[in-house]
Amino acid sequence: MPSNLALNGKNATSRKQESNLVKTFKRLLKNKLAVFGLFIIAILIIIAVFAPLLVSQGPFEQNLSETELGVGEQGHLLGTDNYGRDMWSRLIYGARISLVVGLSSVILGLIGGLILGLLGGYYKKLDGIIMRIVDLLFAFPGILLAMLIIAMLGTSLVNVIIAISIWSIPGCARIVRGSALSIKKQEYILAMKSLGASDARIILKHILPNCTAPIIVFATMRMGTAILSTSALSFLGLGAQPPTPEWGAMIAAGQDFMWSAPHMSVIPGVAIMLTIFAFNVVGDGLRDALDPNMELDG
Amino acid sequence: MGHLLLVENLVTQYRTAGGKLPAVQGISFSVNKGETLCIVGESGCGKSATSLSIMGLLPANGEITGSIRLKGDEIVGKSEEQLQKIRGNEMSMIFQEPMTALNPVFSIGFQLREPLMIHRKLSKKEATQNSIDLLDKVGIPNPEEKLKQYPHELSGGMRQRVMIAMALACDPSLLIADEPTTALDVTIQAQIIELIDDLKEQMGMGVVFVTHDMGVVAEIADRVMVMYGGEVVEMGDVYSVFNSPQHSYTKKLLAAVPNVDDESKFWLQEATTDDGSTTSS
Repeated sequence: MPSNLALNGKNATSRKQESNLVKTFKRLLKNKLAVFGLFIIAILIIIAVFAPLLVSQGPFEQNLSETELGVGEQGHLLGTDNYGRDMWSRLIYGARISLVVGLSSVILGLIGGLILGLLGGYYKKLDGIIMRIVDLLFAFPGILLAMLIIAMLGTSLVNVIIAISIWSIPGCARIVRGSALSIKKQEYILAMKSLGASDARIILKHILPNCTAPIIVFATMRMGTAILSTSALSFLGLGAQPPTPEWGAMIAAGQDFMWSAPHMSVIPGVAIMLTIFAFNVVGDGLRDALDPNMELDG
Repeated sequence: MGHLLLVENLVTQYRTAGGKLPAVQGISFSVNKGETLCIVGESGCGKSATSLSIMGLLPANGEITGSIRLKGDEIVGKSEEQLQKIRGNEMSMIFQEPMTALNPVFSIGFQLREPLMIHRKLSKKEATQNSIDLLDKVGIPNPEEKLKQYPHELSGGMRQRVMIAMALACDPSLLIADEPTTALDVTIQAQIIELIDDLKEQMGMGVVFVTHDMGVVAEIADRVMVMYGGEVVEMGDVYSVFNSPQHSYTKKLLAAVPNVDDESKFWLQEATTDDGSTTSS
């Protein structure tokens, strides 16, 4: 069809062009590390979704005659913990928790950050107030801010989600505000105003879609950080409470058995590491793939 | 009676850290239906500030006093919502840079539908149908195919045609063109001017055409308004301004237009020595 116009190098205007998902995805697939990351994330998602089908023993089921079994012993793929609970089962139920907590806190954080960032970027009058609030949130070291919020709300996974999403707001707000500020000054926004578009229409329909690239990168990177923070908070006893198969809590529980059963801590630790690694390399890859200048190297 | 646009005593100022900066200092003019008024003048003389004032699109630090009436309806002092109903509907504007006046992330079709969906409340399907007619009207071949394309896939002249189509989507009675041909090369310029002139005739609009190019003025204007330093220094119909300019600034402006017949400006004169003999090296 009209594909004679897809000749990349020919086009000298290297501004951001079509929001072509397929094109970006193809560029992402050229990055081997990002593909590896995507592969890990895909496995994580499959495991989390089909968790009940993949285990022979529930994550809470204790078997006191089979405690502290090593990896692969007596049919337990990853061994058992000090109560005889199957580590494999706990690990994949833990993936569920990590993904749900990570995703929901990133989404909540994005919503908050988008609202603040778009308003601050578009309305000069609100900019000062909003950015001072953001600065205030930024002033706290992230994990301390999260601990503070949990101290106020009480320890539970839901509160961890709230804490981490509040922690994600300032970063997102700054990124969005920056994009909104530069896009607002473009002539096409003035042109849209001259056609009678309302502020809400301009913000939501014309500025927001122009910010998607940095938001996607931010959200992906943030997923890794959110999962790590959830585990860190749980490790400190502020998040998921003991019987819950949360990775951070599992590391904490394994601490006392470091010599007799090191796999109790090492396995969830490796799981956290791989997950964060995966989200980071995919985020990196996306940043490169969404960069319009990459097209010229194509 | 009956002026389409009547501007009286318009003063536009920008509030800056160093006090108020006047851009337009008390100008008055009118535009009738089916008439083209050219505003000419050098950079910074208040041409664009005038057109933005009429549209109510001054930046946040801009201030207007005076009166601007569109079809007898006072625009100065209207709320933003009221202005939004007028913009794109009763009056429209096209801009200088067709490269930046279209959103690079959306297809032509998406952007053309916008004014139709805002003012006419058309559904997406109806708006698409109307967009095809609009593109046809501004002389773009294969309109159905063009709707799916993105701005970077079109040439400057095509983009300016799309801009014109967007501006005229809701049959405005006043079109403000802020240097619409400056960024285009000469042949395309001529086409765009002809297009605006044709559409003016067809739709019976009034046109305010802002430019600094006297050649363009001669082609399109019915009347000319010359601005300098935020004030109107001369106004009159195009023949009298060109044939017998009254103000010295207008004379200079006309004298600054390169003349194709005047060979002395274009050919390097042979270097002559003091005694008048020609040297050649």
